[in-house]
Amino acid sequence: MNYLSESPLQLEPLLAQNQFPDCGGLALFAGTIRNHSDGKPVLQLRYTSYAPLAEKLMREIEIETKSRFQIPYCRVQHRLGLLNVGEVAIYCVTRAPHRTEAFAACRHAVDAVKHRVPIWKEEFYADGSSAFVQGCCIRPDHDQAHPHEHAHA
Amino acid sequence: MNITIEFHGVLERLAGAASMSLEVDDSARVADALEALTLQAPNLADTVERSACAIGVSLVARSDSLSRGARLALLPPVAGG
Repeated sequence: MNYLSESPLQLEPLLAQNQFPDCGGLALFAGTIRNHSDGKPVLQLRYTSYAPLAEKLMREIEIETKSRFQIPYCRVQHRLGLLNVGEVAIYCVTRAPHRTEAFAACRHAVDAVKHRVPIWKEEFYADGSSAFVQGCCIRPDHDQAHPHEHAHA
Repeated sequence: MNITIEFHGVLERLAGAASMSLEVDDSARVADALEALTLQAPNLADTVERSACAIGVSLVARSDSLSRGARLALLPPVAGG
């Protein structure tokens, strides 16, 4: 299974068309690169990862999401490398019998990837400067480590 | 014994390298390696404190033992998506 990609993400293979006739709900989230951050114009983002653990955790998040929401299908994929404004950084697709659990599962999986998976992003600004985005501490024995429910930008 | 420290995310920028070799006692634990690292590079201390550690596909605790030749990956706060 492909979880991380240096190439542009392909949506079609993630949709699993015609494989779940019992599912009337398909939820899709696509996270794209926006052109601003904290009021600063952004030109590009670079994503890097610690791939061995990132892929393992993304696989676990898919399994966890399917179990928690009792749905048959969940796939997440994240882009790596240098991305321009408008490019897709993450896709998450869920299928469920009904829309409620499809939406909830999709949100859960995306939040889990953002909060738990060792992926980092560096923003490159119009003024020539750059900065790493402050993220979530995943050190298990640290006060600020948090598997939790909140909305990062 | 010799181990390798891998720097990821902002730590790679702060360290100025993707990895470095570190000499530690044969009985060293993860915490001992991090202490030796931050003595050499005090500018990393704050971020190391908020970093998880991994060997291979597993997170490791500060109290875990290290083995000769280990590659200890330092994972600062994450920001995917």
